[in-house]
Amino acid sequence: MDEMTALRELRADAPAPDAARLAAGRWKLLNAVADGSPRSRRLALLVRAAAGTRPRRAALAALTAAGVTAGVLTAAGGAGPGAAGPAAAPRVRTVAQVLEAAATYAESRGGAQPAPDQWLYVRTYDCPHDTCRVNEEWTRYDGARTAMLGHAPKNGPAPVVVTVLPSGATPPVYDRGEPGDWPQETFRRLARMPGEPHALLRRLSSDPFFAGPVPLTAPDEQFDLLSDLLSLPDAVPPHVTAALYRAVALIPGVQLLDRGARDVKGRPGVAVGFHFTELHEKHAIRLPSDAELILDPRTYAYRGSTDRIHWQGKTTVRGSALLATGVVDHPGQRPGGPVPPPSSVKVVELPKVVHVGPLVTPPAR
Amino acid sequence: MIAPLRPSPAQGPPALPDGPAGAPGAPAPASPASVPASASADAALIARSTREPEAFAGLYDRHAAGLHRYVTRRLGADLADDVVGETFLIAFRRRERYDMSRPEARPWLYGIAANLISRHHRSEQRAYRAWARTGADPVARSFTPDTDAVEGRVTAQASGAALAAALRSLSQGDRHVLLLIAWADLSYEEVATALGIPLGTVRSRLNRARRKMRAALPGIDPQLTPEGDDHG
Repeated sequence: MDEMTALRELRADAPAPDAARLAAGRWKLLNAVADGSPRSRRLALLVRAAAGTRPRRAALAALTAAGVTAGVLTAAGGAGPGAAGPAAAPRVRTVAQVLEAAATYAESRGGAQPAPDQWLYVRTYDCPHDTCRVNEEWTRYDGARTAMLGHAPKNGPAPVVVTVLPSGATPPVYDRGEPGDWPQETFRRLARMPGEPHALLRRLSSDPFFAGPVPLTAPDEQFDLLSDLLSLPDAVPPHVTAALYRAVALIPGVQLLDRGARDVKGRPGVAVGFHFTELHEKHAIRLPSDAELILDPRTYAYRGSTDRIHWQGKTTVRGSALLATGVVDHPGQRPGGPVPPPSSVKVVELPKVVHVGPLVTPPAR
Repeated sequence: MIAPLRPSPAQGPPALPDGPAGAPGAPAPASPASVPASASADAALIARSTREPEAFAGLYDRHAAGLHRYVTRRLGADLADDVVGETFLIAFRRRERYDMSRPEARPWLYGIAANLISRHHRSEQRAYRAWARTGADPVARSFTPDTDAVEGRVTAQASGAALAAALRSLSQGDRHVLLLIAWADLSYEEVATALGIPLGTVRSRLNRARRKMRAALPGIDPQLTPEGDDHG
């Protein structure tokens, strides 16, 4: 069988849309056709005009943030209704101050590395589409195995499905590194990086393991990379986490959205925002969106990320909230929790894959 | 390991997309082999819609189902709703700039959709990565959310993981070319039109992409055998 045949069979069971889905889309199209969409045109103009000057953009972003979270602005700090605001944190005003506070907090954390055969546990609340759900994932520190939970039978615990990468697999790096898949290697590489934020940003942007084969130069690409790295618990040395926060402050256009910010789970936080402008070129279309790095309102530790995509006067929210992380000894085990019985653990070995593409040098083991 | 569903996709007229044939009351999604009569209707519809905007809905009825299935295959059904909706809104806003010498609008629409799919690049990459690493395809799981246990998917699609890893290794441009041909049944010429690139670039991107797919499949001679390439 040739590769095109194999490829044609991938996801061949993708369903055609049912009549209801199609009708909904048709209705939206006809609506836009009918009203000539003056409203959306005005909105687009407003966004473009606002992007021109920083104060106006900040004002617009604040307006947007306030708009989408209208009605929840007064809630705060996880306290009951009536609480006046996050009392513990001193009032910091600029994005640089918030990121500096985040850096200081990161530096105060212990930086003990897990053993290679220990597992990093991450629980997140993810909204990749219109629906959200809680995901639990285990990655062995050396990156050689991952685990997730299967469907629970009627009476009994959910099986723990452990996936074993083919022996000898090394971190493959394609067009962009995936540091989260290889925590130990990520830690090793970051530990050698400079702690000075300008230098760190330069090194990261041109290191294939983190940036891919093409150096990242645009602010939006750099913001993307930094927020990715900040989302990796236990794979970044504390002093580098601190430098990453300081590097975020160097990216032109980052701003503080400190009023009424919430992660996708609805928890209040402090948001560092970055506006991705609308692009309409022949081969690149990007809708305007506001990316937010959500930090804990008290400690400024990483809490998640949110994307608000603006389209036709409507804001679509996508993102992820970090619920829990920890280091455990067994796949399927939660921090402080029991070890899953061996009978519930299923091990699946992936076949050997010939990795292709621009590989970086495999790490010395 | 994978049983061929289509005997010889490179030869003969491209197969229609699987599944129900399009919207109720609408013609089946057009394929490259569609009759010219329906194709000329595309340009005519667009021309008419510059005077009567509602006529544009005819283009939706003709192409939305096929496009939706293609985007679903790449990004999952939820994002497909967004992408297909946006594709037609953008197409509508640009209809006056449509090149009326092109009777068939499919390449134009798939080109717009390709740009929008690129916006979800990271989400697409994440799904391939998860598939390659866990053996379970999150996008396929979204087709039939409740029926199958994770571990069933994992073993059934073990070799899919190899292809997912290879798909992930492609640049966005190469992947558009490869999947427009393999999943949307566009011809080389249509891909060139859709992406606004020369025909030679389509060929070189496809060759590169196919080599990577080939290298990822166990038990296949990595040497690329030239096949009857032009099916357009």
